[in-house]
Amino acid sequence: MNNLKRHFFLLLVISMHTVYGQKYFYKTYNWEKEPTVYKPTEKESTADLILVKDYNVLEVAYDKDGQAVIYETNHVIYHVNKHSAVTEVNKIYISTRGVNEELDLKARCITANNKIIPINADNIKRVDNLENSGPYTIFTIDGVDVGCDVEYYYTNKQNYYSYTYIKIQSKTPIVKYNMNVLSPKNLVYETKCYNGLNDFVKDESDSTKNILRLERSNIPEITEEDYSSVKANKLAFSLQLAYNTDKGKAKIFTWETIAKGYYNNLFLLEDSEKKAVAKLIDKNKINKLATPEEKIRALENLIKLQYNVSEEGTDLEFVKALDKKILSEVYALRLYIEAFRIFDVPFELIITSDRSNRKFDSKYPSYSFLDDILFSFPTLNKYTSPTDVLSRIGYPNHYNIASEGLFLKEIMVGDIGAPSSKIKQISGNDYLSSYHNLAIKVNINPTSLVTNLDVVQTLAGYQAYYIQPVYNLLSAEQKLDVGKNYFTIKTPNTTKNVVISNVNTEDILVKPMQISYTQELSDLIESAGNKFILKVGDLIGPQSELYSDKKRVSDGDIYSSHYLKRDIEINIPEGYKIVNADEIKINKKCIIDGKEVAQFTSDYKIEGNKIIITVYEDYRVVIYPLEHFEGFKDVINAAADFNKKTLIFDKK
Amino acid sequence: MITDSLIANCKTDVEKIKKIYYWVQDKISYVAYEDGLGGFVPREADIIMKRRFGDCKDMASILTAMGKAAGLPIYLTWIGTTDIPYQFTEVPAPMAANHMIAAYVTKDTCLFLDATGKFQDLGVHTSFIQGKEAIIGISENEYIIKKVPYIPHTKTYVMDSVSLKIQDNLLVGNGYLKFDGYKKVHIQTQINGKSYTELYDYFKSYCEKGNNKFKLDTVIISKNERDVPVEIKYTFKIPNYITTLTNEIFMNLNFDKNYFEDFSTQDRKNGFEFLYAFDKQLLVTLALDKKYSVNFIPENSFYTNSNFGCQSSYTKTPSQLIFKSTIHINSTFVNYNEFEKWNEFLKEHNKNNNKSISLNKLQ
Repeated sequence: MNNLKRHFFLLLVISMHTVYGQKYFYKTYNWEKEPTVYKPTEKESTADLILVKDYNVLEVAYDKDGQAVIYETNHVIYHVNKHSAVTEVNKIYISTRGVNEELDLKARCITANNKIIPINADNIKRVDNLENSGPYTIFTIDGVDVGCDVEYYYTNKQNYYSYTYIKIQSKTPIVKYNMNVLSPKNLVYETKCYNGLNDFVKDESDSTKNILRLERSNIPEITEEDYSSVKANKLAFSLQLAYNTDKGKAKIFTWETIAKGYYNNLFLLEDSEKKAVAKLIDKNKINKLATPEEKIRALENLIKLQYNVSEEGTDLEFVKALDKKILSEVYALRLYIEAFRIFDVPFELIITSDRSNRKFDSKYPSYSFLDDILFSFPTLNKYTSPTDVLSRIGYPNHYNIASEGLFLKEIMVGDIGAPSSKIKQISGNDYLSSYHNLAIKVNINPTSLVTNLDVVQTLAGYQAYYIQPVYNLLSAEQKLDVGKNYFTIKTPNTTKNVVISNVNTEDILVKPMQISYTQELSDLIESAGNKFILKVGDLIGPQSELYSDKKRVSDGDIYSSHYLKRDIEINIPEGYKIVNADEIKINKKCIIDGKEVAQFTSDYKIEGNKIIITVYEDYRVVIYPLEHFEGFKDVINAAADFNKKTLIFDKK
Repeated sequence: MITDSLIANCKTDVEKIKKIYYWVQDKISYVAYEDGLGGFVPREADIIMKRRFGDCKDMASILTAMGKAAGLPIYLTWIGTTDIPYQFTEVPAPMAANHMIAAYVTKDTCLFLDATGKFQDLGVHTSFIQGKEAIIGISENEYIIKKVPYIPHTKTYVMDSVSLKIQDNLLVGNGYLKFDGYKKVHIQTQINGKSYTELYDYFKSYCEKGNNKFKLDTVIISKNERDVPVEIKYTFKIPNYITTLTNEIFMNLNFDKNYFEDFSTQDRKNGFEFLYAFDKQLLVTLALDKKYSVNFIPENSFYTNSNFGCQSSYTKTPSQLIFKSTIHINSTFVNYNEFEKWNEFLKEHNKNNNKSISLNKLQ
């Protein structure tokens, strides 16, 4: 959605400033003439590679014709501790997206014996579009070996941008990180640091510039945790222009100014455009449907399954683009908005972050947190993600729920529309609306020890999110693969009689998707002399196990609330009895503030020659705060425990 | 100069080659960074020496130059990897080659040196040139063609030996892994440069036995050197694996039973290929500790033909129960017309997959 944001933000606040003789910081910056190789501490030596220096300068200045630009300087020194890191740093890739001039580039290798090997200019290559990720300057460094430093720095003149969000933690430990922001007196920047990063400090030593400095030493590498997003937990900061004192005292980014930008670009359509939308609704008979919810769903199915919607979009005008079924995200949103007006259904546009990438900060109005767009329908108490092909009304992208967002609606003053915005919580769905249920009938042949299974799986809501909306877009071969491998819990190549139902367009996230199949398994039972052992736990499939070797640092995130119910009915063969049935009883609950938020239970009853086992698991909330993580872990691990359960059958 | 100091104390050609070959593997990183003529012309050895990296041609060039400095008959050698399904004698054209190595050639020896593989012991050339014809450039006007030999299965093996004890409902054990040949190259590639945490995570998955509650307690690389097998020692626990019924205990000792899971012939229209021939062995020793008597053990299994085979056995001694399972794959290809044999092999190999041993607790 970056294009969308760029589209809205006009640079009028910056441009055309009288330029006086300027002193550029980057012109005075240099590296050491006679460097010596870095000597890592004992602790630093354990990593393959360390980033000894990551020194950054963003120098905002007005160029000759009065346009604001940014001189970006980045000075980096890596120290190679182990051979495996050699190939990570003997080729350097520098993105030149948005760069309009490369002003300086120096690189060298300082060997373990302090010999300096400068870069060979022939080794520098410029690539217009490196593997589809934009323009890059790439070069190789000669002489890289264990114990050496790889050092480079560059200054690029960059097109002006007014906000950025930078994550400074990566898989390489950093000895020292610096960020310096220099700007003309009239351009005042604000910063906010996240996930434990210390704040920027104002440096008032130069009366001609605003200077903000950040320094942080000994930044450890980021480590992954299960049920958590590593990306959102990195040390990071947001930086953006707060004031341009030449243009007045008003703050540049407020939720109101941001909301107004979205309103102007998405809510205001020409009469011809409105007509085209009305025609499209009419042609597809959407307005003939009974309820607003049916209309919204029909519109979503139409756009998501028949239109090509992309970030880049098209050069065509709105009406023509509609006709060609090629839409930019902006066009798609305008289409939705006008259609909702026609449906006469109250709605709000929500702009929020992807919580797996960065957490929304309601206290810091910034485009940095506005990655994704949702619609809310207050009278229906439902949301949708209009440009996510998997989402339908009632099930917005689950990375956007359980988070705050900027809600924007249109209020009418007479005939004139105006934006009205507010920060509100995007609530998660009821856990009962998302489930993956399993009904299995098991017949055992006591002589051959082969088992025959009749399996029915039912998936609804978020448990069907990644498969039901796209199932009919798959090729025949992919469908076959889904039938065999996606659902089968054990020994996929034995799956037969696969029937998949409720996958038509009108079923998507309305009816539960269902899959049934049969299996003949020879690996569900182990024989041991006269007795045999049924690996009943295998029937629910492998379950993840959470260990507590390392100290947990982040909340648990289950992505969307849901439940899982498995009914297992096993025919006990004639002449046999089960001798350890009580072993399969488990009961674990996670309770927060007196409320049950997750549980795992397994139990059984004997009816005639059948044992009927019920295994139930639910996660009623999305986020499990760190202080309650143990309770959450117990529930997760209880499922892993059940997966190891066995039933012993003995002769009567 | 480097060559002189490297081979200063070497007596034989083999000692000298090893010094040079291993030095290049250790000191010159394999980096493919090519365009234009750089894709065809090997660089001079002194440039590569300074850069400390190079592509396959550069590796071959520096090996040849160092060989020359040491007075060894080492030559630039053109070859096509197994990606190319024909030989020079079948298609005598540049398209039959996509790789360059070096070769040491005397009247009765030929050793292929491919330093793009960082962990190839001398004699274990990279697996992807096995069986391919190589053009060895003896001089400007003279060349010979030689076929790169397949490394026999007995040279490439992984052996996993574990001792188990029952402690209440827990299985506690220690293990000893030994790798040689291509299995050694593979494991060295995997463990190279890893921190202890990364090694731990890797071996937790590599050594996993029984179920995913498998807990690796410690792991140490006890030997990781040139020309001898890699050795790893580890200790572990397996919770929730044994099934207990008052005085009887059940467990399956065959931790390797899923090894051929991906080699089913069902729905296959073509044969399949292994990267190399190999042997595999699992040895499990369960201590009876005078606390248990053996109630039931599954029968033994055996299958062999000229290309592949397997064997498994349960042996009871007064103090131990020993399970041993071996597999040998002698040929890198299993052709479509061998599928019947392959399925017989799998059937025998899988025969005891679902059979537990049963022990009685002694009072």
